[in-house]
Amino acid sequence: MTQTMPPEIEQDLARARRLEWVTLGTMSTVLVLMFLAAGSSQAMRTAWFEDVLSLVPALVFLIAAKVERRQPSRAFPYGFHRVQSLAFLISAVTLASVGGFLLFDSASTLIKGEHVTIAPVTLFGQTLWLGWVMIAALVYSVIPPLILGRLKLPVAQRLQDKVLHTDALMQKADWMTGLAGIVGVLGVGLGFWWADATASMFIAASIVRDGVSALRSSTAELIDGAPRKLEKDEIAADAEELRRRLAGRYPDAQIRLRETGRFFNAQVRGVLPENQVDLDELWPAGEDRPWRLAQVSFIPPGADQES
Amino acid sequence: MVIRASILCAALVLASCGQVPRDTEGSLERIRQNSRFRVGLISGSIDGERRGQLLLDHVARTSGARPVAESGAAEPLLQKLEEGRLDLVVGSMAEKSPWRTKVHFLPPLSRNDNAKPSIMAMARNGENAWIALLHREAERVGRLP
Repeated sequence: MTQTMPPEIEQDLARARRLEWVTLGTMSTVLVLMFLAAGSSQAMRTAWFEDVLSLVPALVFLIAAKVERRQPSRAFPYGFHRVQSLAFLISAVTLASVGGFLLFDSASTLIKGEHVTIAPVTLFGQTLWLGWVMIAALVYSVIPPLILGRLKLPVAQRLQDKVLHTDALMQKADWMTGLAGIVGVLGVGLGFWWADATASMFIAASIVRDGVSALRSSTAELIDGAPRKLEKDEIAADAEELRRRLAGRYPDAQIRLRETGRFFNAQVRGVLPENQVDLDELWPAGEDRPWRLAQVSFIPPGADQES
Repeated sequence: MVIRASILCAALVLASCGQVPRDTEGSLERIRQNSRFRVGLISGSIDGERRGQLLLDHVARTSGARPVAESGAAEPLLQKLEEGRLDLVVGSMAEKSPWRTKVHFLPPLSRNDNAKPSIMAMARNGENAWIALLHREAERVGRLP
């Protein structure tokens, strides 16, 4: 048995799933090409390893999208919406790790003063500098993430899907690393041994920044923090508006909001529950996506230990 | 930003097509200027077909420089190569030597069975123009019957 999602987001969810399958397909061809072009170059092997890790958010998204629909069971009475929060944490850890790994690798190359060798290679009877093959592979590796990342961002925004958003950031990290790789290989070809590592370091710093922000947001979500914005670790505007609206309607109550995946759960503490509550009516006017409010629960006075 | 970066890359590619790869420490330029390159010959190498000497002859012809050779044990010669005090080391070496990460191994000049080391030539890492020249000549010598 599967749980239905709000009909407004079904179409976007299907599009997101398609984008992730396309990501896995195209990035696999990139991985094969990069592996063949890497030769003995440590820099290319690093880029390849980074590309392998970059598949994690796409994979995690597809798994979470499937698990999220499962019906609540005796063992999981609250259902599986929160699997999105777990997937977000895994994606955020992967993004931050890729950035950290890249930063460490490029910094250690610079500190050790390692001079990179890119030797010639014989292909189909022709000997040419392997750098040209690497650049061709890197150019190809930049195109799919550049397009896919841009296609995913608006869908992630509409779905308020942080896993998909983190995946879009990962794709940004991919194409930026690819461009840095091209600059690096050209730099090595021009005799600047430090070019590759320096270019990578700048890119790595930006990936780490995105990764750490996603990590803070995902941790907040898992420990029942107030809902965060999609793109940064700040309280989401629609959550703040909803809290204000509930506070106005229940002035004697304490209002708590938390996020389970893409949905909001609101708790109205210190008042008796109403007989009938219309969730759509509670959603603040002017804010899109009323489907985000999945549940409002009431805690009467004295019904919890904090009273 | 993407467009600017792409234009920059394209400009770099076009500007550098004729001169790539270059050496980090300018080995090939120095060798051509001084008309000599410094070679370390690993003592005790079993090179019945004189492949090492053949490589030196080929390189001398292509670079217009003569080899200035010194003999010694592999370890100190490779150390000198890594530090830039030699341009090339030739002799018997295991193809899977741990030195692979520190100096660049050119294609084998002759390949023996697994029990015996091959005749190898090694160059300093990062000297990509010099390595490109050596690579071509090492391949030629390695292909000889």
